[in-house]
Amino acid sequence: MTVLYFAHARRATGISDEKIPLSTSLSTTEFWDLIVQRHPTLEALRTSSRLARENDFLRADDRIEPDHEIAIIPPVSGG
Amino acid sequence: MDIEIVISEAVIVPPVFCVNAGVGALAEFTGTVRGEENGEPISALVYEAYPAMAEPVMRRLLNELSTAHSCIAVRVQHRTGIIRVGEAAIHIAVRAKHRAPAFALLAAFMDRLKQDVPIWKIDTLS
Repeated sequence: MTVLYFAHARRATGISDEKIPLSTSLSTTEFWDLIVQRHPTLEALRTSSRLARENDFLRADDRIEPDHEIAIIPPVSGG
Repeated sequence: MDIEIVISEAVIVPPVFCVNAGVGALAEFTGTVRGEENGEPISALVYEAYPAMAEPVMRRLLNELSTAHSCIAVRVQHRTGIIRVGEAAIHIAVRAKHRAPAFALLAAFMDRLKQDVPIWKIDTLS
């Protein structure tokens, strides 16, 4: 899967995107566990950020497949 | 409802609209950068967007809101990058037959934008 990091998530990780090989699908909880393991600084954003795919926010019970592109969306502040 | 959305680093210059015969209201909002953030003086804000998602989310929100607030056209321009104090970060223009739906759609859209559109103030410059 590909993970996109924006705003505070990009700052926390130091990267804007990365590819992470997956052999199976993940729950959103498993996704966060994996991402925080790779980037412990994301723990602070875990509860406040949302996940998005194809321009929609994911629901808690959505599955993430190996070919998905997932964006981490920290709390927004436009306008 | 016609929708035009622009997300770019270009300075926002509110356009002059030619209002057609069916339009009885043109409601505009310009959001500008204040000289302070969290009580501290600043010279600019830095905005970042995820344009590939922000544009379709804005369009979806406007289409949803137009079912309750019937308007003719909306134009949204959101600036990204460094925006200095006094400059516009966002400009919205709503054209409608009557003023009530124009005001209502504009206010409701700003509320939803601040909840769901992936645009961020990522830094302040002093």
